[in-house]
Amino acid sequence: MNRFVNVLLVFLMALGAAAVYDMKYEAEAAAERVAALERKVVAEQERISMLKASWSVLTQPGRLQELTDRHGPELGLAAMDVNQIADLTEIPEKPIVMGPPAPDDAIVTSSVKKRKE
Amino acid sequence: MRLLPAFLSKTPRTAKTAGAAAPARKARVRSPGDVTSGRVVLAMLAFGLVYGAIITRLVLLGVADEATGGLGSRGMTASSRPDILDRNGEVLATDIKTASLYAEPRRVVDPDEATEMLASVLPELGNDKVRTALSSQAGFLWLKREVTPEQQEQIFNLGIPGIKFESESRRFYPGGRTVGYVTGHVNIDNKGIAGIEKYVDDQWLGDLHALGFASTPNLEPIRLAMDLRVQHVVHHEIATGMQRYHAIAAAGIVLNAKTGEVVAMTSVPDYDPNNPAEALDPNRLNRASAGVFEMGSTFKLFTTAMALDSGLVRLNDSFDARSALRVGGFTINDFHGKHRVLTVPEIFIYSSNIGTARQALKVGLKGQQEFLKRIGLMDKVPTELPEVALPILPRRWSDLVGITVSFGHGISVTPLATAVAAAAIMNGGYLLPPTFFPRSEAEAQSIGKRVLSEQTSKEMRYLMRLNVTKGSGKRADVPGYRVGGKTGTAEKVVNGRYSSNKRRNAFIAAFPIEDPEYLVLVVLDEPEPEKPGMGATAGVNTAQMAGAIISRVAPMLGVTPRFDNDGEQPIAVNY
Repeated sequence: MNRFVNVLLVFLMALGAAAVYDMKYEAEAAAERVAALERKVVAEQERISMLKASWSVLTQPGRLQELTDRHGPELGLAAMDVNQIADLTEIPEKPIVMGPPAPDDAIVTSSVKKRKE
Repeated sequence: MRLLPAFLSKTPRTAKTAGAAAPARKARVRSPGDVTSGRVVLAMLAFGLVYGAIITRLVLLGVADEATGGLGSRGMTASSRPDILDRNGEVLATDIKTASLYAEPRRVVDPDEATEMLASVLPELGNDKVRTALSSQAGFLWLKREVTPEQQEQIFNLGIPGIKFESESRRFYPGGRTVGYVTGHVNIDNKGIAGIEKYVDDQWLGDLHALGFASTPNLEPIRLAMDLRVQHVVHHEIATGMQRYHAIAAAGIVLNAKTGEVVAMTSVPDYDPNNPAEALDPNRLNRASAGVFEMGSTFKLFTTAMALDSGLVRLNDSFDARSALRVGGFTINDFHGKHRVLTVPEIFIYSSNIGTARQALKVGLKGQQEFLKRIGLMDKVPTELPEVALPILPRRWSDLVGITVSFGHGISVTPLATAVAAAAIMNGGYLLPPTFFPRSEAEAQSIGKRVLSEQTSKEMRYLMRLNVTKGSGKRADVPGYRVGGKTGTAEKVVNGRYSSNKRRNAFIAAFPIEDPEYLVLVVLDEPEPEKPGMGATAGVNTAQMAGAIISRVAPMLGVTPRFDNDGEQPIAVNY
């Protein structure tokens, strides 16, 4: 009985030592992964700020003005006229008109007619 | 423990000894010198201590804060700076990472070969100076700062021992010349040396860097009151105007009349902050705030406001402008004079020097000085931008000086000071120090100083609108936006005398006039007739430029157009 307990204790001690070593290596590996991720994060942040700077350069009002001046005529772009700015309240109400009752839906009837022909 | 010796001995127990040992459990005889139990206790204590220490350490590690990782990326020499954004979040200045090339000459194996190989990528490094420097035993030598990524890769692939790269932050201004005068620029070590960059350094960033927090990431970006679109429009219009009217320089300011925010401020000729060497040219200065000029007839805005506010002159008073005014041996004349008695509104819209001088004489020299001091024209404009000039004031205020100051000669102020004072007159009488950072109306109310009565401001707005509908500012009128304004054609001093063919023109406009939200000031230096035979007064060139700016900028700034008062005076003034 004593021998058994002692053997068990020695075995547990060995197991404990192995577990500690295992934990230590796992922790080191995790720290390496964390460091790699942090480097990646920094690289991504640098890339983002580089992209933001590029975006800013491409959307500069001066550049856009140059582009619209050059391609405006073919795209049908024109400078906005002050008369084009209106408020929703300035639009008059739609007048109510009582007209003749609507005929059968012309689209349906004409397509049906065509199929008959 | 008694069991252990029995276990370890492993001698077969004879029945006799076993029998003898079992019943008679005598206490072990201790002979002198037997210290076993003491040592056992000591061993127990030692183990207990060791295990106790391990457990304590484990517990402490368990509850301690997570350790911050070591420097994952290499440190940087040039310190990082916060981004500068405009009021809508557009990027005006940002850091981008670049590599800087350096050498450790004592580690360079073959300086000649190293120089040749470097010269293949960077030709400017193929000289003897670099060769001798690489041959020395120095520890560190900058070769070229801020190389492009392609150059970095090429040099890296050469594999020269002793040649290395250091990651640096480089300041980049996407807006370029458009925003140069407001953002300012930095030197090679990313220290701000002009504009808002310098202001931020002086305020807190310089201290942060001095304390050693050079590469703090994720600094909060700085927001400015400037609107990049408005800034572009102003820059484009003054650059176009300078070319069209053959001028030597121009400046433009858009001010928020209610909050004192500088929405746009620029000047041409300008420089690209990405290429700061251009800034060394003395002709490239920010004429809007760092240049002082005699503003000419735009000053009549202030003289008339002074006269009306003093109570000594009322809107329907008249003054004699029939003949020239003679003071101290000098003669004051009107440009295209009417040679009759003029009412105060007529003096304003015909820009009569004689009439304005008489108004100033009625108020008196003391009143004039006190008023100019009150609206801030005698002091440096208090704002964040470092490049602000002091006004040039007359040394002695004689009667003649008082008269010339009344129509804007003899005193030199910055265009920014003029705009700020005009905003005070237009916004109901509150003088607001201009700011380049966002400011709400509530904050503006709390720091504004009342310098005029509400009634005076109302009357001045009436006169400004009258000047655009019936006076010299017709070209500035933009349908729907109720623009009010005043022209100023100031003769420049050449060799100590006023020249009749060199002038500096200005136009100050406020819109919408019944409750001005924005103020626009355009200055044009030495404009000439656009084509021979045309005029070159302020009503011809700067008024047109101001009108162009307003028509493009008003929708961006959210000013609602109105058409119900076409051509009529929107303000009823009780005489």
